[in-house]
Amino acid sequence: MKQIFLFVSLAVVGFGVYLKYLYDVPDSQETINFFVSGFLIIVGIGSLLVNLFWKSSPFQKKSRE
Amino acid sequence: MNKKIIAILILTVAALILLTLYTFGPLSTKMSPKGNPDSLKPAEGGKVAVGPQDLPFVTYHNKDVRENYYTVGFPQTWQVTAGKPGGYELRFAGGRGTIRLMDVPDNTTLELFVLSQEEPRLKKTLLGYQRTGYDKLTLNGAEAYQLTYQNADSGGPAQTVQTFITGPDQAGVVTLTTRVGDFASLSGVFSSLAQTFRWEKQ
Repeated sequence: MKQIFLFVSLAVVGFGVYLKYLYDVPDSQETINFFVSGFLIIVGIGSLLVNLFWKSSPFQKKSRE
Repeated sequence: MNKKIIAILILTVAALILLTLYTFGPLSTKMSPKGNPDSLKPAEGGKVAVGPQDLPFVTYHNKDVRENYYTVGFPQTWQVTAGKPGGYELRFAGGRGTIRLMDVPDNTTLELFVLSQEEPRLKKTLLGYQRTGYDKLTLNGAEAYQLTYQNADSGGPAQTVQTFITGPDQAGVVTLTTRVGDFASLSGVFSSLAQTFRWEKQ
């Protein structure tokens, strides 16, 4: 589960970077592109950090020892 | 949930709030491109080209929009003011003109865009629009498409030469309008002006 979460986070960051730097934005839509790409990059990086610092997967219950 | 996770979540939310303020709030004005004051100064050194009838041209370097810096020359007697970022407004005896940058989507070509988007738009917005010419040119190594048309203007029938020049990111559009009766005497100047347009390498 943790690997899926990591993959989705990377995909979100990647899509945000694509929108920001590679996608050809029409003049009238630059503002919305700035917001959407920034949103995806911030949320994606946040998710990656959560994934990194979470000691176990956030989606799995701790097993009782 | 440990403290690091909570800190990351708080930072993420704070970054999203900042992003929203920067995009739609009071900080959003920084995003729109501004005109560069140097674009309105004639080039130093008096680089003057001579047009038809020994009409001296003055060169301007436009550095408003990154990736779309260009050089263009105007007859010395013409009144040149700032247009939208990357552009100029022109006034001269017998007519007016503009230079502007135009966004062309990646999934089309400039020629297709001109014929399928720009010309239909002109037909809709200009009273009595009638195409009188269409040419493909090469201006200083750049492909260009020149549309010539007449329309009814407030001062009588007007003739316009509109040149679309393929650019590194956006296209350059040179639009020059005069009264139909004055067109014969000004057409040489219009051609010379279009030929001074040159994209600058960065």
